[in-house]
Amino acid sequence: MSAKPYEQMTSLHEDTTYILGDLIMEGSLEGGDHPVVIDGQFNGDITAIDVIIREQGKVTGTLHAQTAVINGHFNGNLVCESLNVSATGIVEGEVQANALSIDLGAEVIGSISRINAKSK
Amino acid sequence: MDKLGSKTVIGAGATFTGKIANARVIEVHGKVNADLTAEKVTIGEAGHFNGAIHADLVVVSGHYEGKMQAGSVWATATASISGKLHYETLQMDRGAALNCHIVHNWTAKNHNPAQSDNDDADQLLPAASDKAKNGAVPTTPEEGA
Repeated sequence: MSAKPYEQMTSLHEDTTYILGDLIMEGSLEGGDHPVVIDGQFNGDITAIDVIIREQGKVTGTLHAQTAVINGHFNGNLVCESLNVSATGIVEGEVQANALSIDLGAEVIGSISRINAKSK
Repeated sequence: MDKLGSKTVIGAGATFTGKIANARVIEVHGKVNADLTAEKVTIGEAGHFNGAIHADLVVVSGHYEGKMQAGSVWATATASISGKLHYETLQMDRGAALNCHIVHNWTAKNHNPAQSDNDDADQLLPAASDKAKNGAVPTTPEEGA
């Protein structure tokens, strides 16, 4: 139910997309089958399976993912199956998630809803 | 804290379209449509880069299309480059495919495309024929011998 272990997702791999350091990217990013790790600044649309926004990472825009881990700052529309906002995470905007965990200390400002209400 | 260093990677299978700023070291294994200024750019074997690159060092193993301005360019055996290439030093491995306009001795300061393009293109001709001799079976260029 919860997101994959952090270490597993951040292990060095050529296929993983890293946006690190002082980098500023603007546009649209499709991660393909592999994780996307953001430690820089990204403005725009991200579509990927696994997305991690690390402590220094800042994303503004829309994010579509299977699992998302927010340790940094996210502002915008977030749609994902499973979302974890860690203690250092800040999420502002509209969140749609089916499995949601918010750690103590996290800031979540905005609306939260399910992607599609399951039939009971 | 950071075992990942400051290297930005566009992973295999990833596609990015847009603008990139403040990059230092960037590796492209996926597809990128962007204009980029960086210190070091690596385009991996599976990588596709479309757009302008302005960098100190560019290593191309994949596909590049656009206008590249670089201090050092290394085109490995699997490289394929089209567009424009302005360089100070160029290394080209056997098998690299360059279908582009190549201008030597580009520098950021004195670059003046309107004037330098034609001059440099002439200087390149002897170098190009040297490459042909080294790369192919030695043949005499005389016709009808």
